[in-house]
Amino acid sequence: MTWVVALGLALAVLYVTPLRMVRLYRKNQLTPKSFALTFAIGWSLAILFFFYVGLAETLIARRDPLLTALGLIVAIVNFALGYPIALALHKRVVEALLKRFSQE
Amino acid sequence: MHCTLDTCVEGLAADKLRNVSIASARLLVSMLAATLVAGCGFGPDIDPLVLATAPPNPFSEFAPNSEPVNSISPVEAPQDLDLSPVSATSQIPEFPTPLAVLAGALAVVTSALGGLPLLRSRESDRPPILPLIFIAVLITITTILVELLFIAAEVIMLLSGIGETPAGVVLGLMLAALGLFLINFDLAFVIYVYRVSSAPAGLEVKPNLRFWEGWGLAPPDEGK
Repeated sequence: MTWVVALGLALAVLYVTPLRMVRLYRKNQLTPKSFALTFAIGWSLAILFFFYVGLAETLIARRDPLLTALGLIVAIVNFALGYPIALALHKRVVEALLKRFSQE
Repeated sequence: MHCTLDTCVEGLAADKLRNVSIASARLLVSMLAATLVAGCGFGPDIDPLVLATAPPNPFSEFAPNSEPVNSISPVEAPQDLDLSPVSATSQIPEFPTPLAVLAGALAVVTSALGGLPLLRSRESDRPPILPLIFIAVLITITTILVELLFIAAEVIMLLSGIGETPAGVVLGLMLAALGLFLINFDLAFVIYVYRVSSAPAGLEVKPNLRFWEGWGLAPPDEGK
């Protein structure tokens, strides 16, 4: 049952992330930083939900500090890697795509 | 008055001839009169027939002038629209090809490096932790790049209006589900590294992608 909840939460976060980006774009507030921040937060949050909600029973049963901290470590690593990659992708790809839409 | 036979015959013939002449003259006069009366119907003083037209537009000041068009300038001429699905798809801005190639190359490198831990002399040997962590970071970068491509695709769909249709919502959910698959793959490898580092010596550790089994942390019957 926890896996169903974990999958549902992570799916919702991954689905809402691009919606949030488009909403920011329509408000003219989508900067490279806000794009990268929205992606990194959404991606890391989905990982946290998938890890901690899905593994809740196992974490309670094992009581292993390393395993408990592992989800947080993975989320932080993903945030740290995802933010600069998203920033670079926005400058090289997304910006050009959005310019085409604004011209149309 | 008395007359002879000859004179009486001549008188009768003359009377008959006179009557015929008078009748012919009356017929001619009546025909001329009828012609004149009929000709009066086509006189020039009769107004021509005018058909009723629509009333003038009360907002005609604001409406564009609708003048008869004899020719269309090449600029305003309608283009031949190709409404085929292939053409409609080509209207969507091009996908970043270099990025897709880079993500594919990273995926190939990662999968190749992922096979390195399997190169062991014995089945019970453990692969070294540091290369495993390095591969985990590579997998993370790859999954982030691929997920960013999914996000870009969803943003394109939403901005082009496709994402707001029911089919677009289903496509968006499918892309989100693919993102979940990437997270599952990333977490499965991280948990594999954890299991390799924490398992007792002699115990064989294999990667497990089944999230409902806790990626190998929980026994198979416990996760279900």
